[in-house]
Amino acid sequence: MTSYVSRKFLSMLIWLGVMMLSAGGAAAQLTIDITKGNLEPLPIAVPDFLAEDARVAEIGAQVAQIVRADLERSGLFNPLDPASFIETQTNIDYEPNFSEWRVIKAEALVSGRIIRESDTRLRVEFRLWDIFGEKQLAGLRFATTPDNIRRISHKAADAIYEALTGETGYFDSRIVFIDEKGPKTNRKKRLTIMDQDGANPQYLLTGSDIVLTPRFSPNSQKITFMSYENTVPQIYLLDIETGRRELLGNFPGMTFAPRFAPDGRSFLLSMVQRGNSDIYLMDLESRSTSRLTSDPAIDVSASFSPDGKNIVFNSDRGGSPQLYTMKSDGSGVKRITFGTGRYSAPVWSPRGDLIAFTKSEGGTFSIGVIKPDGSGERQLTNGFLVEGPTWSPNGRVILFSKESRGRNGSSEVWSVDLTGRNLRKVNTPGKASDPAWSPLLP
Amino acid sequence: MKFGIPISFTLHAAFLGGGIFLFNETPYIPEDNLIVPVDIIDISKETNVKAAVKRREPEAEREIDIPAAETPLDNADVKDEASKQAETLPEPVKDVPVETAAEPSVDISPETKTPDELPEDTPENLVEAPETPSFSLDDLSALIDRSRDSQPEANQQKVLQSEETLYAFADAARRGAGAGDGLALSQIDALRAAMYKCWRIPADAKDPESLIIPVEVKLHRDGHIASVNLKNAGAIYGSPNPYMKVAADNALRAVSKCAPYDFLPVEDYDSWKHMTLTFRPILSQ
Repeated sequence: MTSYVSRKFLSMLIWLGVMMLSAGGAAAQLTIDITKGNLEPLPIAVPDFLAEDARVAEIGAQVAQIVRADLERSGLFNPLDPASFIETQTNIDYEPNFSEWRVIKAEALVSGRIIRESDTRLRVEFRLWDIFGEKQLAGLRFATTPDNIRRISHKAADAIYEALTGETGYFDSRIVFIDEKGPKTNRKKRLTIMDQDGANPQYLLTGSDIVLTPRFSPNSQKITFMSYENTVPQIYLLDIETGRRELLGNFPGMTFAPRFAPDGRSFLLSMVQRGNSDIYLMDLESRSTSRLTSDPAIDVSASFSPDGKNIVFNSDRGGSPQLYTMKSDGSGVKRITFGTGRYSAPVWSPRGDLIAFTKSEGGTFSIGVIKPDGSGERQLTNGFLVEGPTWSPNGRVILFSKESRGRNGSSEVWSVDLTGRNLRKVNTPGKASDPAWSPLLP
Repeated sequence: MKFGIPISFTLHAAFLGGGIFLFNETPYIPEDNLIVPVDIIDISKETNVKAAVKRREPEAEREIDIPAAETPLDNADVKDEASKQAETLPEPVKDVPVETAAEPSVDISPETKTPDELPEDTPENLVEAPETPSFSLDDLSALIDRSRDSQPEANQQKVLQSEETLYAFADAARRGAGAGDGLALSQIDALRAAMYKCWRIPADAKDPESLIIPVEVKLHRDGHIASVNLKNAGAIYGSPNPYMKVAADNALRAVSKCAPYDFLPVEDYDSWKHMTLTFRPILSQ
């Protein structure tokens, strides 16, 4: 009996020892938290797309150049100089020689080719490789016509952007803006559209009427804008495909600041009646309007949240112009800014997480963002006159107007990303203002 | 003993008087903000005494991970811009010629792959593989490391008990020394500084501080990577949050980019041969 007890006790001790050893072994593994990283753009190699003959090779070089330019402009990528490439791929279906791309410090590689299927049809194929992970991240193929090669290039850049950042790209999109000609005292303003990289600019209206605040519909096919065509400024709707233009309601007072609802079936506008400006919702089909605010203060510049449930707007009901949110039926009004200065032109991000705005304080204007609950306000850029923010389709970049001081001061469109570090002038044919960024093209 | 009481009284009085005299100082109260210089030293080198027994060969660490080649059919979309209707139809995939649907061929070299590991459905790629196999410094380093590990140990202790018991005792002896499990703070800082250069923090992503990616890293003695894996790959790649997958790829890329970790002290190899690096973006500091 005694030997049985001692054996049992011994086996328990051994078991306890084994458990302690294994627990100790698990604890021995070193665990380190990495909380800080850099914000350097990702080095990416985009060689010219391969081609079977010289004529197609020219297109291959053009595609690669457009992709490189798109990625570089985003501020997230650093396209490497093709002259530094060591490996020359001849077939994109083989794995690249990763070690040779590591030598030039590339972290991603785009290898593509163009295949001519007929005189009117091209096939564009590419693979995106993770050089350090040594794996393919994306492989895509597009069929297109030769005259559509720029759009396909933007689509390729969008796919690369998405594979490497996790969010949809914004390169296959367009910008509508007001082209300005002449001095400030006698300036002609014309509605113009172009690709987001500045290519293919076109006037949308032939006349010389002053137009302002163009805004895209969610399907990118229609634009609302305010025009001084009549003595009283009114809101119009323009179909880009057909060129058809129509007046949206004949209201007694001034209407302005139109902005589509996310479903595209209605839009918000500000209307002045008896000296009081309020926000209205107009149904596009029935053309009926419903009033959302009824405060004696000035309520303007309403913008829907991407889910259509909330609206942000600008009001001076608290004294100075500040930003407020409310539900889409006009209830639950809540002030979200309390800073000094004057807030205006709020726009809800397509991602839903931020609201961009213009702020003026002490003679300086700035473009900033704030969370919808009023927290996290920060300034992205400032200047003599910066105003009118508009979001890229993925909610990462903001376009805005920038005007410089003086009688003949320039009027330009600039972009800034959410970090505030990537500030760039957008290529426009001449002086430009009041940009509106389209959603991704269908 | 008629003097007993006076003597006792005198001695007690002398004892109490002496005590009052000796302990009459006011108590010492340290200043609140007194800075005491302290040198932090790592005593692991002094205390980390290895047990003189045979150690388990780290066989698993010598394996080189071979990334699985992805098939284009899994990830290739066909988007027809010439005809808008074609975009919504899945049929264009069928029109893909056979040669373009081929899997991306994998460099085949005896050092990195065995025939069993090649994709079964692409025998033709064996023939079409590029003529010159890629030269990889990582692979070469792994081979050098292997040759060194295979050297017979000079003073191998005679095995009296089972090997498993010896391994257990060896580990227990090392842990018993106390400090052998940890890297010095300076080495951890060096590792963090290296990762800072290699890791692009996902500051632009939506809710970046929720993108926490734990990565298990096994290293060779020379600092080259033996293996690098996500700790909870299923949850990360299955996450509905698209930023999570990209954050995971970024973390894995950072670990690979920072290799070799030859700045870590070889004598503390046991401390860093198996690490978990948790990529936990903090933007507010």
